[in-house]
Amino acid sequence: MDDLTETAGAQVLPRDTGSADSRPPEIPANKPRSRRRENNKFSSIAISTAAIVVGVVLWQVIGQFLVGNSLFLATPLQTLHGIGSMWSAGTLQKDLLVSGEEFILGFIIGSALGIAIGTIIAKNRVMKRILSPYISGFYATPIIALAPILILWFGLGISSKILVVISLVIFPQIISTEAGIRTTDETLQDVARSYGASTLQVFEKVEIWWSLPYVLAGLRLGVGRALIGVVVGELFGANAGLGFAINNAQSEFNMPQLFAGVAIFAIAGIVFTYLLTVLERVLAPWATNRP
Amino acid sequence: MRGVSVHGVYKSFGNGLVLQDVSFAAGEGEFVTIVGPSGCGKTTLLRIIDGLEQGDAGEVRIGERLVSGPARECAFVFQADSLMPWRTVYDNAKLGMELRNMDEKANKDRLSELLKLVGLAGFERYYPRQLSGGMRQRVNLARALAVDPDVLLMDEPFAALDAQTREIMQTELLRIWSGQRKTVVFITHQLDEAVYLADRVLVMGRKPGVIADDITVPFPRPRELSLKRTGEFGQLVERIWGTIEGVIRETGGI
Repeated sequence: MDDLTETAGAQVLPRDTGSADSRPPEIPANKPRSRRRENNKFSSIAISTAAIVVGVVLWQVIGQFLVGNSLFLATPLQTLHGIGSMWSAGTLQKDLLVSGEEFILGFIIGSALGIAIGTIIAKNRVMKRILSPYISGFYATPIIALAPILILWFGLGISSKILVVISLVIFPQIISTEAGIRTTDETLQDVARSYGASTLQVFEKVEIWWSLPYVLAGLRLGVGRALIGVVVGELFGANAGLGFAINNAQSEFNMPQLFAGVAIFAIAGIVFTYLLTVLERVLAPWATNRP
Repeated sequence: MRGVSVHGVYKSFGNGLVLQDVSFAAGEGEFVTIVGPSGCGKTTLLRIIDGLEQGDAGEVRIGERLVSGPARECAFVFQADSLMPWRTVYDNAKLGMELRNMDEKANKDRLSELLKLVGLAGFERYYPRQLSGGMRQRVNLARALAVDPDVLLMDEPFAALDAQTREIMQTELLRIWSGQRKTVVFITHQLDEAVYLADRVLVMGRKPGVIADDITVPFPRPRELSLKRTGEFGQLVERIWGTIEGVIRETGGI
């Protein structure tokens, strides 16, 4: 493509000195490539779908014929049935609402704090010196081990779970954001400065944009960790929520309902990760779908 | 339109003296190229003229005005890939206007004209990664011209391009310059490029950087690319090469 467009440009260039209406190079040479990409996209969706179907069928066959005991392994059909019975009992709706609230509030607060702190330590050396031992310490430890303490301090309600989620989401986001701002290309900052940009304008026109893909990567990491935070927080002690339901199902040996809870988390993981990919495509189209 | 005058500029980094008593002037609308071995402080000199860096001593004037910070009269064309990857061609070209608070609406037509002038009409909505190296440098040039500077400071803008594209861009630059007649200070390490483009070629020595020679290029304009194949052109390049070779030998190897 590069060579093509350059040659196209070349045709209008020499010899016609000074004429302002020289015809534009007119080969948007990446048109055919995008069609090929569309084909790839279609086939990759088809492959993923087929993989899921095969997996579920295998699960059903193994559960039904090889294991044959729903106490050990609930089949997909039994799991669906479990979801149905939880729904008609009215508990599923309530649990979804509680877990959803924990997830969304924890994820948003944790990510926002992570972005803010990451920005501060990237811009301020003293703050970085003060905070970085804590950040690397907390990032490296299995912070989920703190969940029982947080529940002890803040009770069985949703506030303790929100704190667990925040504590899981915040550190990767701090580290991604800081890395994004710190690695901002120096030449691009010089470009802005050469046109008279102030420090604030360099931040606004260059550093924010440069770090955006890093922040989005931090969000994607955060989704998985936030879901873990919800389940584990609820397993350690709760009075409502999907993790709480999983715990109850386990104590009643109700495998279909246990599997139902896990399946809902898996689906939530897929859905939120997908939504973030869409967000990435909208906010940073230049950084995504690289060839 | 204003010229550039540099007087007695010194600059050192750490304990190394990079520029020593550098003085030269580029008249209004004059095209001056600076050549010299790598590490002679060419880029530092250009950054000082633009006000991106301060000299330790000496002064730089654009017209009558003393330069103390990023100069409004100048526009700096950086080496390859200094485009914002998140901005389209149009938005990249607009950056300087944005930062200098120029009225974007009033200048919209002019910006479109400019993109046409550098051969980018129809590519306004492309992102830099969709462009070839030569086209990216056209955007770079458009961004600089958009702020309508008196002085264009160009730091090896074509160094990363292949030989053919480079020659095309040289003729392009001359075509655009012949219409706008900016004062240009252009750094390169390609001697034929320096001679082909310039009214005057300055040769810099190194360790520390000084102006070792100042050569007026006699060829009339407009210049065809075929000029490069003539004997007189070859002799001039040869003479400049002689000076640089001397500089390199004196300061000990490449």
